[in-house]
Amino acid sequence: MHELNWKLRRSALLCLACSLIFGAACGASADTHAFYAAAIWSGQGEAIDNGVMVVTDGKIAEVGVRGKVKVPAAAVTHELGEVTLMPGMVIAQTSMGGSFGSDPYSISPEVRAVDGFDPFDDYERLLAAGITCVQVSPSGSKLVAGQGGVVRLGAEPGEHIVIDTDSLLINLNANEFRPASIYEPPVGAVSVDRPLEPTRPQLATSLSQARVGLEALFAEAAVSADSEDLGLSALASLLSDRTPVRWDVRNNAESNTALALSKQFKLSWILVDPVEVDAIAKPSVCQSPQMRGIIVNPELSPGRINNPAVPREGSKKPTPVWTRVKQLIDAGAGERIALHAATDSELQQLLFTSSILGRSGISKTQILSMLTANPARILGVEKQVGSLQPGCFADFVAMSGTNLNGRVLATYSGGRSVYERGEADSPKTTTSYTIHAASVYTPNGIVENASVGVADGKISGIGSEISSRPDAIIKDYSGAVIVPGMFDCGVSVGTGGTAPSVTLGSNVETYLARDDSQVALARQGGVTTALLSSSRAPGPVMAFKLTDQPRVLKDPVAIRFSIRGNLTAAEETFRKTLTSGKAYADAWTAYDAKYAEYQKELKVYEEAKKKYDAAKKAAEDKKKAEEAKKKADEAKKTEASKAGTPTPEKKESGDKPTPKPVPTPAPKPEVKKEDTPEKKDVGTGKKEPAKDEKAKEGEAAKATPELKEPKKPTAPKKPRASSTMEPYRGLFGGTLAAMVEISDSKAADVVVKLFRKEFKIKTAVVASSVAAEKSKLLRDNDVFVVVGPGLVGTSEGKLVNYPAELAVTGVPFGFQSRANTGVQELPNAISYAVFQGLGRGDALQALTTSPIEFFGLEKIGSLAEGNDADLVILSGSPLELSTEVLAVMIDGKWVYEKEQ
Amino acid sequence: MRFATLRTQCLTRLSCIALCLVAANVASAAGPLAIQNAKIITVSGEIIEKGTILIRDGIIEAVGENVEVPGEALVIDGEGKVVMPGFIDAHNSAGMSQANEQNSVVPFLSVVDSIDPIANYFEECRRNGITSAAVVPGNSTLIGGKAAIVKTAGQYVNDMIVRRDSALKISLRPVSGSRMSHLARLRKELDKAVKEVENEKEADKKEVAKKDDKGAEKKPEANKEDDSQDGEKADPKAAAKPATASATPTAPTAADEGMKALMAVVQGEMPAYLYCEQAMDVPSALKLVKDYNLKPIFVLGQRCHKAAKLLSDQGQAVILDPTLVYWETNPRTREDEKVIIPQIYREAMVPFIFQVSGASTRGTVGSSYFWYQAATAVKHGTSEKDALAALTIEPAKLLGIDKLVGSIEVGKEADLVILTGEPLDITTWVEHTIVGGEVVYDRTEDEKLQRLLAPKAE
Amino acid sequence: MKHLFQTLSRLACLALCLAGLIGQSQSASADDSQILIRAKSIHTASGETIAPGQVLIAGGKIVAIGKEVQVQGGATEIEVDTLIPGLINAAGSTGLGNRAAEVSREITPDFATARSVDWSSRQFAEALDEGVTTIQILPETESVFSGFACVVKTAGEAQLLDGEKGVVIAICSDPASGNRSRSRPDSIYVRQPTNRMGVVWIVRNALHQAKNKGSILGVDPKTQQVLEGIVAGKMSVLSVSRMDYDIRSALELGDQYNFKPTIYGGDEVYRMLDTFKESHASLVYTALTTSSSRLRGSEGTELRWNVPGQMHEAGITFCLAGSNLLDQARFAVRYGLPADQALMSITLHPAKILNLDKEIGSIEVGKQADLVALSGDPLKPTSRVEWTMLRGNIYGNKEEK
Repeated sequence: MHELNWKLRRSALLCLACSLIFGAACGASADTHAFYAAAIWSGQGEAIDNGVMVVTDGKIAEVGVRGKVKVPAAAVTHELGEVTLMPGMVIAQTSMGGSFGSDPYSISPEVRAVDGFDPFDDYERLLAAGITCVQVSPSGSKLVAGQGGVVRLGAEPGEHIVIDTDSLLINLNANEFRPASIYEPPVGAVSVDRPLEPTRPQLATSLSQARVGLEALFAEAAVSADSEDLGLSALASLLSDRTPVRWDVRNNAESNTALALSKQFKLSWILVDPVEVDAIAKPSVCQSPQMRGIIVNPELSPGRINNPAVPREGSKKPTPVWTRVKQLIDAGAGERIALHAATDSELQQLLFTSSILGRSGISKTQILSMLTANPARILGVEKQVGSLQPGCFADFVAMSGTNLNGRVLATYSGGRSVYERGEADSPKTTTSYTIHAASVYTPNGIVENASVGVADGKISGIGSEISSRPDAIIKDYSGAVIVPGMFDCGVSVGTGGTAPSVTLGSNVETYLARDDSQVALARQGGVTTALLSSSRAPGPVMAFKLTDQPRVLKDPVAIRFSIRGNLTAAEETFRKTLTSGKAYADAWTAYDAKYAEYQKELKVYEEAKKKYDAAKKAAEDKKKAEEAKKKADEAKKTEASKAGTPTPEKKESGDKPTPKPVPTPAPKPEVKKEDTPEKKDVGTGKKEPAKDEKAKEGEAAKATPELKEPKKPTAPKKPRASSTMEPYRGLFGGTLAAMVEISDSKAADVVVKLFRKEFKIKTAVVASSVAAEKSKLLRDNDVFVVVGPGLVGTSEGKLVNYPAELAVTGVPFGFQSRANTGVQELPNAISYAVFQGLGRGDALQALTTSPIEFFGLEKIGSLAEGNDADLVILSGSPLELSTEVLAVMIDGKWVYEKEQ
Repeated sequence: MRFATLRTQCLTRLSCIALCLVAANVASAAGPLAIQNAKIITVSGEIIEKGTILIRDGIIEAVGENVEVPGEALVIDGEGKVVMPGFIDAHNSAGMSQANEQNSVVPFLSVVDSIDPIANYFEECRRNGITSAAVVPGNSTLIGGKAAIVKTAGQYVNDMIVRRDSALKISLRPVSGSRMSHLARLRKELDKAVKEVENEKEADKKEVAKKDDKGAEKKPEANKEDDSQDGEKADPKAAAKPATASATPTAPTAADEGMKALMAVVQGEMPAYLYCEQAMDVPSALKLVKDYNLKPIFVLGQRCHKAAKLLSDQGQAVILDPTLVYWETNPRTREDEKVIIPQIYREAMVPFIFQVSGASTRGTVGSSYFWYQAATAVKHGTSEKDALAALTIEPAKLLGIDKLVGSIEVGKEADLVILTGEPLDITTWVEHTIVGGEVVYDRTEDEKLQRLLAPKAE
Repeated sequence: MKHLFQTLSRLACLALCLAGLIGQSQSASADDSQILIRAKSIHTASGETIAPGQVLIAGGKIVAIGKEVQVQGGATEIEVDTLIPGLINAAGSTGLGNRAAEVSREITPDFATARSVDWSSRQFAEALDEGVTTIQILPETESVFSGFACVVKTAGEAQLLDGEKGVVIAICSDPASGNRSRSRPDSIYVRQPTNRMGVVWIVRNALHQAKNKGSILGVDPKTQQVLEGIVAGKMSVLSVSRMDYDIRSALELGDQYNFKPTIYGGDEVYRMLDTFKESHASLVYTALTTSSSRLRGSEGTELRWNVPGQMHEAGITFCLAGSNLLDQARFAVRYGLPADQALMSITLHPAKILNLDKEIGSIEVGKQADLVALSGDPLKPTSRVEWTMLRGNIYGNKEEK
């Protein structure tokens, strides 16, 4: 027993392995789970579509395509649906190991951060951000801070430590290390059992000193393996265990020192937070065997704007993080770059902020690897965490959508769900609310302290005394203002960053990304509906709502044109396009007309056909009747012949036999006629058989002349259909608008001339200053204007407020931001225009009703009963910069709520 | 000054007890002692509704309904009384004069040197039926020294001692500085011990024959060690210096003493009290147990209940904080929560025993009485049987003295408490406390109690 | 406060469900339904114990008690083991911050404690959990005339019953010790008084001036008014006094300036039982919150255990106050107080001393439905508070069983 124990102590890793096996064996009950998801991304390469992951005793047993992998019968099935499973994020450096209380030493290689980590603390926020595993480093301003370790956040306390020691943290960054305070020994008499504790060597006050000191330290450690000194012996064993050293550096000098020392003492190294990579970004460095990893901070935290310093003369301007990372990748460090963040809140946003690296063309999967597989590799725990491979802990994240772009819906640790997104912001459930506020902006004026009722995504009522459903959640925003959700006439959000480039005829919708994290930010400003146009021109424009799963209202809602370059040429080309378009449209309208005609004829024909059939039948009946009569007469004749000598009366009767029979047979067919089915007016028939007779005659007369069938009308010939031309029908039919981007005032004339005068198309121009200039012209030819993002400019030195200009002349207009996440800034931009003189009323109208009317959208843009519950709750009156957005609701669901 | 008064007070008390022993000439080790017609809660076995216990030479000779009582036996009539095994206090520092050294690593110290037989604590023990107590160094230390198990009656420490060096006190609550450096230092100490054990093994292998020489040669080697040190390591070497300087080679140094203790601990020969203040200390403690093959006795602070689950497969009782019920407000949800520690551990299937010393609840009347702690546990769902075991046999097991005491069985030491009624009734008093067959407390003779109960204007 | 409500009412439901009642489980509110409680035994505190018995509650009041009570109309029925009146703590500090002491002046009788009560304090939940339904909150006694005590309910609407219950005077060492400068040597900058003479002098002087309509240095009209109220016998006086000589001075001052002080503390009353009896004053005993390990009281006096028992024998009107009232009663019994008296000393007696015995303090028809359900005999240390009813509303014990 003791023997074994001693062996264990020899190698931390072995010990770990044992403990893990042990833990797993006796910890989790032997159970198997199968997680099915639309996609599984293992942490590298491409995602498996429609995959399944088998988890046994908290470890991953198998991952593969659904059906291909054989799942044990006993397994509990979890259908996760339209989500992507990815490894739980691994953060390669945090300071969650707690800080040193009053530890006096500036060199404490003996301490382990895992000892300061409290597994019973509440880590839900990080788990919610998809982080399941973190490296903990000792915090505090020390030169040799101590040993970092790796812990799993979701794991059962006691089984949370992955490894005690992954590296030794040394702060070369000048802001981090400071000369340690001189240690004061405990007061009181010095005795045998309470000696004076000597002060630890004071090393660094400057980088050079630090280097010298460290050299000395390492040298000493190398020889004093079993020293009595806590620090030295610890350092010695770290060196002998080949523990990597984690250098906290910033500039080149520090990096160089780190590399030099590492070389000198054959240490494998990790660099943290280098902001200058010139020293590092070389193949010789990045691919050296000693290189364990480089940990980078995206240096971005949404919500905090920091002002970059103006580079001083001569000093070279800092390279942005995405470029630096690219350089490192190009130098061959790709596999060993990891991302981390300094603060807790920044960690929570890391999944989003990391995408900034995309700016230098780093792919999404590459970025995600820097949050999963790479850090695991750097920490030397790739066999346990960071990827979804057999043998690893089942620590994974269910991300919405299938384009690695969604948000975290659920987080699992060891196969147990440790976080699930609350139904508050889950896309499914829409509850009913009663929202009370100081004032509500309705189509018929502002209602003071009223409530808005919301049920099933629609506005169920507005007023001061509206009744709320029993299940309604009462939200009291006393003092707040409720305005309708705003409308942005031009955004570039919703497609997860990629610009939709589609030609006319196909739909922009196909580019929409579910749970686009950018959308989540974009809508925080109060914009709930937006136009997204194809990057092609002419191309379709689509109207959609900024919901988690973007909801398309109308696609296309308009056609985007863009006039630039030589106008005369442009004019011609456009004329051609439009003419051909018109031709196409006309062809179809003509066809439609013909077709309608044809339909009419067809009806007539049907009528006729019916009658004809009827007549035919009647005729046949008549024939039958005749035959019947003939038979009857013959029968009479035979009778007559039988009788011997005729009596006088008989004589009489027999006198004129020929004329008599004429009336007599009449009743018979009459009777027959009674039960002929297609006889319409039976009643009248009874009254005047004579007339009927005639009618019948007539009918017969009609029927007889044309016994040949009525001629079937022929359908008109369809013009050749072409999907790309289809939209033009809408355009000329007046259901679609044309959105024309123009850049100079002449273009405005062209637009008016072509689109309005010649082709009479419902037209909007996308322009700012030009529109302001030409406002009168545009008004007279009622052209709608989309203004923005620039709203206030200067011409000939005097300040021009475009929207104000338009409002004054009375041109209907709307705003556009042309932004993605920046959509949330639109109201701010407008509030400046308002500040510069634009009427708040006009502004609001331009943000809601007027564009919505122009583009022919319904049920949105105003707070009226029955409309979609798209509303924005503001802390004060709208379009004041001082006003804050408190909450945004789309389709009766809170999509943004400012946390208290 | 207050101390002095206390002392004299106690002296008088003690003498008066001595007197009463003579007067009533109740048991002396000489003659047998019998308790008749009492309800006997043996703890180990069935409850005997009306039985007799016969004690000879401090050992229980017979227990049962019809036990032959020899004529010379001195008889206590237990009519209407309840007899139980004496209560056992598994962790307290009240029995010693100063709970902790200022130096935080003192494995070479032993509480035996600071136990005060006439401390008020022992008087209270007898008054409340506590017959054995483990005196342990306090919690504000790293390695606080060696504990001892003593009987609660006796003129001199040596009369009282049941087991010297019964366990080593280790506290995971940082004295000064961070948990990280605290633990680092602790590991260093244990590592040294483990290494020492290795060395000895080597040595033993090498020369089994020459034992005496080994002792001799070991000293200088120890000195070398000392010189090589840069002085940061406090106790062992520091203590060693003068020792080695002055004493003869054969005299053990503090370093050796301390090392001996630590070596015993890492070899699982000597148990270690592991004091955990916060829940997060529990996993660390468990890891130490695993890595260093410790034989732990867990002493848990109030807030450790979050880690209760982890302790379930330890297969032994843990020692709870004296405060059994308290309120806390969840920092995140602002929810007020009532924390009932016995209930939490019961539901986590962790057996527990109680502490009384240092109770610090706002005006709790009774948390310094073992019977009250037991009653509190029963109030919150523990069975009375388990609760009573937690006062007697459970701590005995935990301390490894269950062969001697902790239940009323033939052959065990006669540490008994005679109660006036059911153990958990509010009106029940300790009538007699018997330690090793001697009556060391008699309520009728307890002046102090009488003064407390019948206060007079003086 | 709001938060507290929510928790409690949530617990209320819980408790009701647990109590195994049939039908709708929203908390029985004072107004609507009647509640019928069936108990194995009812300790009325106003006399005999009914076992088994029933109590009918409507509109937050007790409308019927007995072995069998007639119920017309529906009633929510609850089974409990033991039922006792809601406990009353005559000397609490519930909801006061850690410093409720007013040290700006020595004579501040018109300062009202009620103003500094934090109604959302956890202590209310704790009190309720211990079965306490009514508390008199005393100001801290660092100034001689400390201010008005107030009487509150531990939950529900309208918690404040009386904001100016009576003036607390500290005739003890507190104002002195409070004034002894800890930082610098006593000087003119340190408030007076610094010993008992000073304390008593200030009281006497103030009351004397008030009696002779003289004005006291640095005292505003409102204060003056209160003081005159005292000497006119219109204002009840609570004197915090523990040592026998403090108690004596309190009583003497009472005789001189015709008020009858209620003594709070009373640790050493056992030294002067007869004197105290003759004075017909009543006493709120707060010294029982001790354990054998702590032998000294707040003023260094050796604490005695059976003072309650002796007061009872001497026929003094008294009650037990402070925290853990049930435990106090239990230990009082252990030390020698008769069982029935023990229960009364935390229910009816405090009600009498607070002049609230018309509404609360015992289980009698017409009184408010402040009740506590226990899992067993109130005097057994193993008995648990199941739930507490306050004005007919049930608040569950936080413990799931």
